[in-house]
Amino acid sequence: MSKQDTQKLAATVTLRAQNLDKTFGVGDTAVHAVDQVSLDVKRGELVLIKGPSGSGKTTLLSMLGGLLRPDHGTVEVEGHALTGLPEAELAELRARRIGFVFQAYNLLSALSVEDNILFPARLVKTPLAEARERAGQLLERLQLTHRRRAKPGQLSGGERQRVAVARALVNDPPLILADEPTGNLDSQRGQEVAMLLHEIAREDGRAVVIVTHDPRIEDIADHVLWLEDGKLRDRKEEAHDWARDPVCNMRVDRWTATERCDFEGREYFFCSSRCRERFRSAPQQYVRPGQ
Amino acid sequence: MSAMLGWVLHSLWHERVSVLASALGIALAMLLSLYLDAVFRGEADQIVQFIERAPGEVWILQDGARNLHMNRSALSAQQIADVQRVEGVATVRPLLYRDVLVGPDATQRIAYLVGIPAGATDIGPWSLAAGQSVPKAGEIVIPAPLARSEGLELGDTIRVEGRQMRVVGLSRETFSMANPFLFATETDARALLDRDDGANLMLVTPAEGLDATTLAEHIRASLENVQVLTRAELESSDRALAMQMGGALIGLMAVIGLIVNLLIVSFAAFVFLSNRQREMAVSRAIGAPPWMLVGSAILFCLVLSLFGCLLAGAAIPASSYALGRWVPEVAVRFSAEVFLQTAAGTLAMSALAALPPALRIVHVDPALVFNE
Repeated sequence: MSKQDTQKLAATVTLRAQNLDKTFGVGDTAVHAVDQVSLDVKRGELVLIKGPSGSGKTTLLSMLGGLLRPDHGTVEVEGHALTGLPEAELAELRARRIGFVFQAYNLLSALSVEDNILFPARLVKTPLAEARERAGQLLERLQLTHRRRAKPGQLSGGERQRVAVARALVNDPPLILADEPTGNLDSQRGQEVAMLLHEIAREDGRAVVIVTHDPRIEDIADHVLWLEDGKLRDRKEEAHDWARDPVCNMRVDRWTATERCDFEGREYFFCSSRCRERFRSAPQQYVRPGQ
Repeated sequence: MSAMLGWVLHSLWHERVSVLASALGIALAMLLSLYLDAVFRGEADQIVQFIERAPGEVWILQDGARNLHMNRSALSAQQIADVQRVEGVATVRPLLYRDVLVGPDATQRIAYLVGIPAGATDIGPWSLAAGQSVPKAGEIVIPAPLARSEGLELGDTIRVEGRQMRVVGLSRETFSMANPFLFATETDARALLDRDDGANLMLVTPAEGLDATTLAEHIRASLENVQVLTRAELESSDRALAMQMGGALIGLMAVIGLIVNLLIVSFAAFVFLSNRQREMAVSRAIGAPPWMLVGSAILFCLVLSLFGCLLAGAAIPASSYALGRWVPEVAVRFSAEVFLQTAAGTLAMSALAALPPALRIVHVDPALVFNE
């Protein structure tokens, strides 16, 4: 792909989310899972969304994929608004324009590898010969041809995730949404899948949004967004903001630390809940004079 | 829908053992009502055998009597003579035919005794398993299954209306649980039935060029105080009576069978779809519209029930053959029409059974796919 092509691609916004809001529950128990989130993802771009557990990542991804309706705000895929569409049209839009990759693979256990890949193509009534040809190309590309007749239960984790990627690509969607795609894989298989998603963005020119904790994907992402308390921040260019765990003295990134607490007007960061609890039980023991 | 059809069929195959168990349950529930209906049909067939075989196009009974089965008719000698005078009557065969008690006191049962007129070759057992078909004085021909159940052989005696008769023939196709036929001479029958003259019924044949219906109308117009029926009318009346006896029971069993099927299919669908709730959520997430998921639930139930129907259909000839060998005295006849009605009822029930899980599926949260 030439530099000009890349620039042209980058100019096209595939996914646009504006002012997304989602609250679960009411009154005192209400949780503002996503709060005024806006983002654009262009063709060929790989965007990573990180954040602590419960920060609203899955809620955001569900809304971006049209699986959950926001309370406020809009989502558009290639200019087609997802919000407000009736369920049947939304389902068709998902099938044609969005590919999903999940942490748990979510393959259909009774179907063979090839039938799993063909499943979304059949949902949109792609002619069988055409769908088979496309599936054949994907099987070859993902080195799964020899496993086409196998059932998901006979595959390794890496193979299952490659099948899931092939299934996500079979209808040639412009947008791929991946939820912890490397979460269940060992480091080598995780690396392979990460590179595959990178290739899908760069070579195929698709917009790829990944929610993950995997630091390897951070290196290949165009943007890393940080979601915390429902709010989104861009932190690719920002330097890490290191703090020391007062209990074990381990270095902890203030941005990503999930374990923290206040003591005498100061915020402390911890590597784990165990360290935090030890600190809470006897904070004076860990606070150094002048610190 | 082809995507979901493929998924349903593959998933059914994937769980073939539990699917087979459910389908067998459906087949058994169907067979319960089908067998009950078949037993009554087989019984009805046996009950009307004599009407079909005896040489009379028009049957005359006592006024008000419309059946041979579970009925008694008595006609006087004068009534017989009156019929003979009706225009269009070719022959009149007065016949002794009535229910009798047969067997020892402890195991007495009802049978129907036919008195064979002297010299008649066309009234009597039409198929013989052993012995002779024409009894002499003091002799009797009984159905082979009756002889077997009573432990009798040729030459043994059997008690009929308190009198011992010697068994000289064992007949075929003359036995049913409610209506076994016995054949004795007319003289013996008259003595056994304590009847000096007259008859129980008359078999009439029309003159050449006259059909049975027209002759029956002639007789009805000419005579009062007798019941005139064509062979077809009498057969239909007796068959209806036999089926009516089991009608309520058959209906009850059919309802029970359908309810059992409803429960089996509901349970199977509930288990199947609960196990696949995540796959349903995945299907929904990647683009299957809700109606397609509902369709797949209905499809699952219909395919399961259809499989049950096929198993029931396949079991019928095999089980009939086995029953015929082990319990030959029970005649069964399956009706294709009843089978199709039962299958249609079962399929309708399965569509009904699909509704609760289908409604549940509509509310499956597609975001479930994000849970590990």
